[in-house]
Amino acid sequence: MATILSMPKWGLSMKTGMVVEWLKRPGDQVQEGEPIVEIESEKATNEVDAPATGMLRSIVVHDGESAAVSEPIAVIAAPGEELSDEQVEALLREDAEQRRKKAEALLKPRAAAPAEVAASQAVSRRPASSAGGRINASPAARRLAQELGVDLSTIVGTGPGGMIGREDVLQAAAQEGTAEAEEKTLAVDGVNIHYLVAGPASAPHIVFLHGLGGSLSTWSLNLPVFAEHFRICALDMVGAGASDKPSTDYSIPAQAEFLARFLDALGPDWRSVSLVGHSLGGAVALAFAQRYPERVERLALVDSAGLGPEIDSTVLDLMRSEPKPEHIRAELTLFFAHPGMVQEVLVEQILQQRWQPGAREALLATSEAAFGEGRQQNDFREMLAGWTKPLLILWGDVDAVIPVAHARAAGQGRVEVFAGCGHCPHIERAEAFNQTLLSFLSEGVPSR
Amino acid sequence: MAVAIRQLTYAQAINEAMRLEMRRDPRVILMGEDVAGGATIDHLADDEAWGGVLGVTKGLVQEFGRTRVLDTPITEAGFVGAAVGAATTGLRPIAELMFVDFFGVCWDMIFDQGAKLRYMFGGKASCPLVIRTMIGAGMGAAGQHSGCHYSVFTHMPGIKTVVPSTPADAKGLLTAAIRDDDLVVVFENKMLYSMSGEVPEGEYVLPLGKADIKREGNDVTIVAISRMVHQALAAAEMLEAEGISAEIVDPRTLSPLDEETILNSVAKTHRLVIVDEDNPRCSVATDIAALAADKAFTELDAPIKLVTAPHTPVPFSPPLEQFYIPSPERIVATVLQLMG
Repeated sequence: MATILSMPKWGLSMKTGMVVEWLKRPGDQVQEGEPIVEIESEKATNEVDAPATGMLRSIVVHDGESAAVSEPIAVIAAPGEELSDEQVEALLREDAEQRRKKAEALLKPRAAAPAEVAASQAVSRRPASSAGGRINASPAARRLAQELGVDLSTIVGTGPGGMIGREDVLQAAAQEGTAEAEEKTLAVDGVNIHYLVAGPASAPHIVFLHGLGGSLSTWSLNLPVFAEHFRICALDMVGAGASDKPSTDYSIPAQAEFLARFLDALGPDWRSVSLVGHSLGGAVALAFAQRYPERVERLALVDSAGLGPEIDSTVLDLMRSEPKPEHIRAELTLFFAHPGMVQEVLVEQILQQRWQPGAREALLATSEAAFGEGRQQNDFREMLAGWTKPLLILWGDVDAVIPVAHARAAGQGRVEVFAGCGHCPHIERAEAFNQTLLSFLSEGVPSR
Repeated sequence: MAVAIRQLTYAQAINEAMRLEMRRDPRVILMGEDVAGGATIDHLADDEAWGGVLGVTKGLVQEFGRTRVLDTPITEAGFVGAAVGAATTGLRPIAELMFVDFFGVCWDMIFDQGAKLRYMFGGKASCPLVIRTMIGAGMGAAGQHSGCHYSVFTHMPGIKTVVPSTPADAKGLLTAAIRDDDLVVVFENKMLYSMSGEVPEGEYVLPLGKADIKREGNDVTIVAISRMVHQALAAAEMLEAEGISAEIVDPRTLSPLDEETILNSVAKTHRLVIVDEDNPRCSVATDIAALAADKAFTELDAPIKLVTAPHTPVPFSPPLEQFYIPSPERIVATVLQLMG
């Protein structure tokens, strides 16, 4: 079976990408996971790996040309498969047809889906709104509809007397374009937190926590994938990104408490979540899990703090120094194994963030609280020894910031180490990272 | 220290609670109609004393004598009044009101005297009195011996009301009631006396004001009172076969009420059914429904349903009496109606 390589989607706002350079020529053999093309989006330039092993049969979008996200850019024939030009054309037409159908399905009116459910149950339902215009919906359904931005008047209820219940609202919300993200700000105890939510409301809820000096954009290569299957939230932690940077306690336990209040403010659907934490975000996830184990379903730690005392002091010194391009470049060089990952557009982005009012002070305070005296101030190994819920630990084997030995420190859980990768596998090995994390989060069906 | 666990009946568990407390504290006394049994009747020497109309207090007079286990005249106003006085002047009496239906005779002593002494004397007086009383239909004892009426007591400020549903709960809650410095009324459902259950040995206390989740579930919260816990458990088994998972909350104490446990359960299941053998007007069932409608409004995915006795006295006719008591079938039908 041939495989179509499509224009990837990086970050929830990416609409088109440009092919910078094909690293392979038609006729070349390719291996799954081998870089095959360099793509440039508005925000980043990255190599894309071949999705399958075989022969690069046909290039659809050439060097310098652009295409919309999810459009085909090449065709890879399976090993030993021979494809005529007509067959390649047929494949591309079929792919276009499938994408068209999928787009149409998203545009269908919401009322159609619940009606299908009702039909399959062979029961006739009255429309939800009475002659007087008042909609017959339960209090819980009304609140949920408001939280999720669902229009009650478009829903057919399946409750007694045609009443709209919570399940009806959840189903309606799930029909909507699931990958569309909402970027919002929420005030928690007077502190504004900038965050993203996306994904089907009825799916398990996953929260992504970035590391020291980072922001929610660290997850741009990951969120689109997870937003297709889960209800995701990525936030700029207090003191970081576009969130407020008050003068406050930035220690790990305090940040975990703040996270709890943020989730409380998001709503009761965020009462019980899975956490994905990178670096310092991992330590915050651990502190939260220690304090509120009943609120955590699964724990995924990525090159996480909190699993041992060691932390690289050079990186911390660079973070604490005056924000200058050369300092940030040096900092990023320590974060990634491949020097090619240190791109100017990324340096520019980080530079802007570090110059925001209060940003540097907050970064210093956080660094001091979590990694003062050049060593990690929080140790969750003992807590993890007693952790019985699903645990995934991901690490880059040449992590220069926190040593890969810490990955085994938990003594349990699933551990995956990415070869030739630095402190940020979620960026440096995005596709493999996404697949591993996706399979971990999808194991079984957590009850909600 | 509670160590081993063995099977006791509800009646034996209650007996044991009193026995242990009477050993522990010499101020604890028991008084009521025939609680020892056979007072002043020669041929009913103490070994034969029957210990209460249903034998619940059997054996206590043998151990503690007739100065601590007192058979009273048939005058509720008299001996309940005496119990209030005894409590206020230093004893820790347990007064047995044989059938709750008789409370009218001693109601002044309970609600206007015992319940208000501490309040009206600014805390200088207290009334550490326990009133144990029988409730419940099903024995064919007819209209004046089968009511529940804990709703009336729960309504009065100054009275704590307890409704144990199992032998283990009965022992722990009665112990807590005896150790409580306020007026506590313990309602024992007579149909439960012969029910067996695991009961820990030795002294233990179950805190008043704390509910117990007798069965965990996800689809509907059933708050059930006293014997109705068991009707609800039977209904839950039937509902399980329909793929519906019911959570059963046993309040155990009605005043003070564990609001948090009930509200948390409703927040989890989004549906509430209350099963109460008491008559429905101005009852504990309506009280809990109002609580949920107020504090859990946006959690409710369906109207709150009450499964109660009708607004009538308890019938004597056996089939009518069975119809009067909320049945597992009626509970199931109500839940199915809620699920749509």
